[in-house]
Amino acid sequence: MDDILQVKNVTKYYNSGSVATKALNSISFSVRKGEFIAVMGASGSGKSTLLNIIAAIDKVSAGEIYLDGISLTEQKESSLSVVRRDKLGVVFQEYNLLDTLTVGENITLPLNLKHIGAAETQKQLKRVADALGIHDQLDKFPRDLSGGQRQRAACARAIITCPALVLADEPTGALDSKNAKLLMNCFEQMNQKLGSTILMVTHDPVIGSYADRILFLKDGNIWNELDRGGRERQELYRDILSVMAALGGDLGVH
Amino acid sequence: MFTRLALRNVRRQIRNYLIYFITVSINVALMFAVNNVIFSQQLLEYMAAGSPVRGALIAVTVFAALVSAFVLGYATAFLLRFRKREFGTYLTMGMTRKNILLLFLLETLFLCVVALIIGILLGLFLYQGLMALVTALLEVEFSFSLCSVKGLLLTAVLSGAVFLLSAAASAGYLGTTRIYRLVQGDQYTHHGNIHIRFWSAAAFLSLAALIGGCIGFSVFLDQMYHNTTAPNPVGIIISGIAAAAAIVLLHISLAKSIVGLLLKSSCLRCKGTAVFVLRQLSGQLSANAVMTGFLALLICGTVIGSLSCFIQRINVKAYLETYYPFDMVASNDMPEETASVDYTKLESIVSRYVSIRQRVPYTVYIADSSCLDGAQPTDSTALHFLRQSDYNKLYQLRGAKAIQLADEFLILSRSDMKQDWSGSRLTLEGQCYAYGGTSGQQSFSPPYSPVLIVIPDSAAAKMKVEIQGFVYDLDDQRFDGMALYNQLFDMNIQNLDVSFKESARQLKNSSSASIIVSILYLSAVFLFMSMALLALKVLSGLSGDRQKYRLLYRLGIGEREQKRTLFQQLFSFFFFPYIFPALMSIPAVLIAQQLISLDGYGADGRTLRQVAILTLFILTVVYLLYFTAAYFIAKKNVICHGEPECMP
Repeated sequence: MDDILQVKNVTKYYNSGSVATKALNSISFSVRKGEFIAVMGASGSGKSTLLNIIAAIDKVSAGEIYLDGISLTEQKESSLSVVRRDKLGVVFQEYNLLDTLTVGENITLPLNLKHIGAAETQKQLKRVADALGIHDQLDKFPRDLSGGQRQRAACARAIITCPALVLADEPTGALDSKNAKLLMNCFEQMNQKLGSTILMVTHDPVIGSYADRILFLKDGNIWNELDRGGRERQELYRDILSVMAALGGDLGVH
Repeated sequence: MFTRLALRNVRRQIRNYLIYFITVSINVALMFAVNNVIFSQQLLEYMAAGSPVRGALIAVTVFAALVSAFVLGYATAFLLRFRKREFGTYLTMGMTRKNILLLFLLETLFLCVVALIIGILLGLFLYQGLMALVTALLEVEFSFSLCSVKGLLLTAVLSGAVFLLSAAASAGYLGTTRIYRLVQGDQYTHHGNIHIRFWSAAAFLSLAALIGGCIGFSVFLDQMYHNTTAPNPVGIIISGIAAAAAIVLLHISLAKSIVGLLLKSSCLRCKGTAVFVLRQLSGQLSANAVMTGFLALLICGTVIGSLSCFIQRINVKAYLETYYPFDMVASNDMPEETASVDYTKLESIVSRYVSIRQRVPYTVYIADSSCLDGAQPTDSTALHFLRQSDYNKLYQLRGAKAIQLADEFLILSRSDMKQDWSGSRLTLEGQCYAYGGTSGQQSFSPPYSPVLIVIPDSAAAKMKVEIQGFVYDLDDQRFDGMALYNQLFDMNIQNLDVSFKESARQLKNSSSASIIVSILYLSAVFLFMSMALLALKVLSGLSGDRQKYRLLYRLGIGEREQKRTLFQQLFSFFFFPYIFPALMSIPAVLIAQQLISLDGYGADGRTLRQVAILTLFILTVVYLLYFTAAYFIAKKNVICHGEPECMP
């Protein structure tokens, strides 16, 4: 099996004074290359903690994580920066584009950090801009774009280095339903046309139904797992709703 | 409640207030030192022109206080902006703008009171240093100086006035700024590059104007000095204003264009966080273009000010050397042989102050200017002559070699007299004398003729006597020349015309010292205020930077790379208004050299360069101190180490 991400018995505690809160409880799962996986759960279920740990911006209390064969739990902070830069692409809920940089500059920033030459940078920029349909927005500043356009630019930034894994944290959280749908089409394209492996955290069953596989978290545990298995999106959506109902219906469905 | 909250805020915000605190403390220390010099009894007794000097220095301190008040008022707006979210929270909690203003004023009041105390303590040392400088300038012995109550009071009053004025500026800012703007703050975003060509052209023209202004200043200076009949300073003033305006405009246009031009380099854009740094810099420079222009002008003023101090000092020495080649010259004040002077009385009074080592008699003769064929020394119809024997005796006192004239004459003029005497011929009693050269010595008498013609003794045999007198060589010890001069003036010795090098030295030194102290004080105030403005401007933008650096961290930029990026961003912004003023020291040294040379004092290029280098060194040290403080505060606030706040 060609696993890009392996999460093995990961536990995470947060200490607040003398009280320790268990955010993740010995979670294990893996993500295959080219897979589009969604993680769903209620607030406080541990999905953001899981994302932060995989994104190498938080540390585990116990367990191991392997990203593209590299152990994230054994790396120093300086090496983790390199992992974040080279192996990961992240799409945030609030776009997190730098307002001082143009859209093109925002997208090519990860390549600049890797000191890729000007010609190669332009080639890669054209590739992702064409794939995501934002080639006419490259010279604009983020404030001149709509929310959907900004999020597509953030996606382009996330995939321009061809990372091993793209992490998306509630990517449609700040978008209306029309733009959310456009963005998910964009994610499908990234996954199918560009071969990106995507791990997405979401509340929304409609958004979750775009994934190949869905993990449901509850109280820091993987409570359930759904696999598309050749089903249509509508079918998967209904199954997600069923799981959510069984879960307690407290996922905050929009 | 507000007092407690204000005290707690000061404790919590002490790191962010550091720059403000350092600046106010240094400002108070400088003010305290200068005010004590103004009211120093020891100096006033020595300074011949005491009262006007004191008045002028008080005017300078008041002016410096006004500049400080303006800058600190401007700076407090940065502090307000830096804490905009906190104030926004207070507003949403139901506090009024007046409450926030009161809170902020209480905080700054606490800081200013502590800064006043520390500043005065620091000022005690600075005062001794300043007194050492002033006594060195006055060429009197330095002794430990006591502080004056008046100096302390003036410092307290001026510090209070500075605080009130800057408080009024804060009140104005808080009163007029919309809540939304207070919460959102400035958005430093560079929007496109549509004006880059315009601003690049403006930068090019400004640079040309700056170079033209410097060249024009030099040319007009030269013309003014050579046109002794009608010197016209208009050209110099226009060139100076043009150069000053060009410096401001150059910085404004560079601030708006240079980053845009650099961003066009595809090679540069690919290097790590270079684009991020350039865009950050572009926003900061564009938003503060006018401020950086005026800061550059102030820093130029500091460089030029230090050179002016040196020129002033050179001028005093050269003036004394030119106009007072001998310790004392006494003569009859009437152009008649009959006017006799009681030299015994004069010498007995002088002996009370200083011992007379030697006295040398001399006679000045007069003749109609028609006897000289060729250049004429003055517009006067008369020429003044000195016998060769008198010249040899007199100038032996200054270590000159004896001369021997044969059918020729020698010109003895002041060094500021530029005239070509070659080819001139003198005819006295039917005898012709050729021009035999110009003496390297300075003419000493009479005051209404800067040129004496030295002739063979035989030529003066039948000439009319104009003045008879004595040149005195006095002991090297320092004495109160002004007191001696005043005593002689009070005694009113009949027909006596006397001049002392020592009284002239005292008079010149006191005016020179007050000018130098004023220039140095203003330069120091300008420098510290400029640094404070830059540092506080940097800090006011930190809350926006914090978000950006957190994003960079999430994109995989490690702590070390973040620090490097922040360093590049702050360093470029901080040193932007420093580079041209530093370069301006080159033309400033050349013009200063020219000015000294035109004054006929012999240009001391090496010392001038040393003064300029020393000034730049001090400037750089102060710059680095403020930059380091600003960088460390920024680093603490901005750099993301992976702490929970960095999480999305």
